[in-house]
Amino acid sequence: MFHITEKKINIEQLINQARHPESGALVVFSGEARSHHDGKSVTSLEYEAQTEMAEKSIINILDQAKKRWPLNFAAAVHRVGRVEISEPAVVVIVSAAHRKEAFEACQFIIDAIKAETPIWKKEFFVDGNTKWQ
Amino acid sequence: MEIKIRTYAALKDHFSDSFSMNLPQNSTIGEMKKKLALDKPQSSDLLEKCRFAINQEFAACDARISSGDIIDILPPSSGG
Repeated sequence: MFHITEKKINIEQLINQARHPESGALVVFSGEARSHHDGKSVTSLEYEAQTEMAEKSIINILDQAKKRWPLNFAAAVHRVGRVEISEPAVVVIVSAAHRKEAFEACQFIIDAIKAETPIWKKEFFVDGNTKWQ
Repeated sequence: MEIKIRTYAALKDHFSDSFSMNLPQNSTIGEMKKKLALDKPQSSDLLEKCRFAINQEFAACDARISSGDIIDILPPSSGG
């Protein structure tokens, strides 16, 4: 499975993969492109990654989560390239027997991706300016 | 010795995304960073916040670079 993709993320397909007979909880986090930042209107986003290292980083984060919580499924996919407003830029999905571990693991995974994975966001503003975050 | 450097995101406002650099044999990541900051003083604050990788493995400032290595300079992550 690829963790970095130029294509739109298909959340429904990921949910179907995450379903598991022993899972009573399935948690999805979708980080979506937002139309504003610091009071300025954003028209679209663009993401860049050091793809090979970002792949390794996400695999490592998912492995850590699977060691820490009893998960039946854990996946994360991040877009690169242009992402339009309200499209998912990153999706994390986990399933587990109970909701507590599913919520905790999902939060851990998205927090770790944002902190560690070599991916960068560029914002395109309505006034024509751009800014790397 | 010659090495190849790749830069990302905001670093590309200061450097091209891929370029070669000549360094004395046995140079460290820290020495390379110093040279880059001298070349482009406006990049020095950002360089201080970056992580470095030698041939796609994270490397500390005292890590030694070999001829032909590819160095990735990774600004603070801003994905998600």
